[in-house]
Amino acid sequence: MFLYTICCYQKSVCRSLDCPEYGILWHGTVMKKNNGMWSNGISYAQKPYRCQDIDPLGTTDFIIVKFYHPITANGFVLHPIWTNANIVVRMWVVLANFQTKTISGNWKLLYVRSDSNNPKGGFYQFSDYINVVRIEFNSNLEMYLPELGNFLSSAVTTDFELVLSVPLLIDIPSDQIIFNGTQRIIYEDTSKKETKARTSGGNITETLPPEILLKIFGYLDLISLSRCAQVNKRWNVIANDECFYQEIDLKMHWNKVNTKVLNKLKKNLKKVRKLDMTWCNNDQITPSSFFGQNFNFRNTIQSILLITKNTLTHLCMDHNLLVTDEVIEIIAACPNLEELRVRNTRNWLFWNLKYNSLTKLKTLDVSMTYIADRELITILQNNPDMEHLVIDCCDNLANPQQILATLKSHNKKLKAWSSWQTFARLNNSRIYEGFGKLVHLEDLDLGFCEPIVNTFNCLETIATKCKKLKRLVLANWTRLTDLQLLPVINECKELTQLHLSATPNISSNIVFIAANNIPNLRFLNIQQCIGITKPTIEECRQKYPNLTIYYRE
Amino acid sequence: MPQIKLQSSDGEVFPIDVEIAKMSTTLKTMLEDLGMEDDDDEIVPLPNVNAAILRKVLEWCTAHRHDPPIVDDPNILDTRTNNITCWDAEFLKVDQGTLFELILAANYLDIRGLLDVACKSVATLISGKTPEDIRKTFNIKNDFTPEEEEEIRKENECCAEK
Repeated sequence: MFLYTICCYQKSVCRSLDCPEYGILWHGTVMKKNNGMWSNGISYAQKPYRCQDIDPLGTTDFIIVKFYHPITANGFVLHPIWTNANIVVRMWVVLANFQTKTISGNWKLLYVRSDSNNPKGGFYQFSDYINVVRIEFNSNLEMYLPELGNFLSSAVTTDFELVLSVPLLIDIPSDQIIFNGTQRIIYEDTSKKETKARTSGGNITETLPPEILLKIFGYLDLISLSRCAQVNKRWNVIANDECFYQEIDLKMHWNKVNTKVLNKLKKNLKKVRKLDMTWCNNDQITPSSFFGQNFNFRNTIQSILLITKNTLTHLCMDHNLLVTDEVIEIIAACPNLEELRVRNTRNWLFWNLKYNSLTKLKTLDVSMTYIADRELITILQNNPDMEHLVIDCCDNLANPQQILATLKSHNKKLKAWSSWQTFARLNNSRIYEGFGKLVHLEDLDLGFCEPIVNTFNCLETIATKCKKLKRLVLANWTRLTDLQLLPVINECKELTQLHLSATPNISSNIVFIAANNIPNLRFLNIQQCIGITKPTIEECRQKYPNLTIYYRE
Repeated sequence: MPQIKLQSSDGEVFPIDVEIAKMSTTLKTMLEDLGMEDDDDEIVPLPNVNAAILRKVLEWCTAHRHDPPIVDDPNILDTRTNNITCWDAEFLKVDQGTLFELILAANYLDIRGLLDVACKSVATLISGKTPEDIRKTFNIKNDFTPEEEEEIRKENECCAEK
């Protein structure tokens, strides 16, 4: 029922669909982040770095649609059709040369959603040909599971036309669209001030002491900062101050990050502590060129990591194709790393344990990678302070029993565990008893990890031992019954979020019992719970106005 | 309400509430150290601030006297520039000279809130501009030699594209 439509069109129009966070699209059930309430509450969520480099529109993910034949942007039709059109944040296109059938390699902004900072938003029609479209969205705004599917299925209709349903067609003259980010649009109004200011004469910035300039530059993003460095000698020195380069987030600048940028940054990064290179592949258009033209880029990334390895405490390289075995080897040698995220990086196969010097890790996200049991267990043994472990969709992990035994003996501080879809074929529910030893656990995500034989109620052990649980995900536990769930409701008084989507055997009663007995419950997800009736939910919503219930047949 | 008198560099005297004066950490420390709180006749000279700027500063302080104190959290570094309130934005619609003098005064008097918002305002003037535009905006002379400029331009080329 999810996303099936796109497959039909996929044959005729699109070449492939990449959707990093969601896996391969027609495996719609893999989709994890399908609403905001519970991702907001995740305790292992990444803390922002310098916020001027953070996307104000909150892009969390993107998909790439490639076409067999170049299309023209004149064929774009905008009309509002789905529930929450705001999930689409930006759209980028790669212009193609129709005659030579080559692509330019540069992303151009096609659409930006409007928001309070940028009330106009923007949409631009290209007369050139396009054969790749990248659609960025904020999955936290998704209201229900098939929403993205609806969007995608309406995205592609005929061979040479892409119909995108975007909330409003905003009338912006094409010369006002700035392609290198949204900054201009955001600060458009200040241009008026500027004209007034120019009349005052004299280089007024000379009067400002360096500490004030440092403070002002502190409010600038990386691009503005590098422009300031070109203004004059004084500004050059101040803008290159290492205090601006301790927390670097390149995610929002993904389309500009290339070998040159990295080589420039290399000079400033000697004291970097936090580094985010999510999406910075420089390679999203033609992944096949990975071993060819991106050789330099890959080397530069490696040399940056080598330079920074002693200072880095936080490293995030989600969806980065350039995370290879060599890169992992360098990462594993960073002695001070506390947070490591390499979500959806499938270009590495082995974590060479020989060179492993990670000992201070608190957060590890290796979701959607090929990490193996032995590797993970060794890492856990070496990092006693581990608090957040995210191993969603890890195909090579098959031994939860051993992992839990390691956690029990080495990582008693664990607060969050997430293994969405990783242990889908677990045959003995007794293995989950191991969670009972992790008494600090606040966040437990076992979506799509239902034991095949569930005669022993593992939830009872978890509920009686893990008293601090705040968030519990049991999505797609198809055999879960009211009776099995009762211990959780009775014991876990701290629970604020309970996710039970696609659990057909729970009944309407449990909704009331949960709402009534768990004092802090704020969010209950019961999408596709066919055992629960609509009137029950309406009644419950009226009776418990503080509780948000997600429900959709 | 106890008052004190502030004297600007050009001699004008401003009687103000002690409560408002204490929004300036500099004045607050001074008043407390010297025990001047009860002494109404004392005049505090401010040799670095002229009357026009002092009037602006006091206007800002009066409007913000009920603001909660700014607490620095090392984990949440507030570096956003889009959170300037309407009142402040209107207040800061001044010529560049005044804006920079306000920054200097806020720095001298150590009025954190005013300093923050004024610096943000300058940052928005810089943001999104090319180096040449920045020079024009602030009337800055390019003191690089052509060779230096070329080298720095190349180094930052990646970010220069329009």
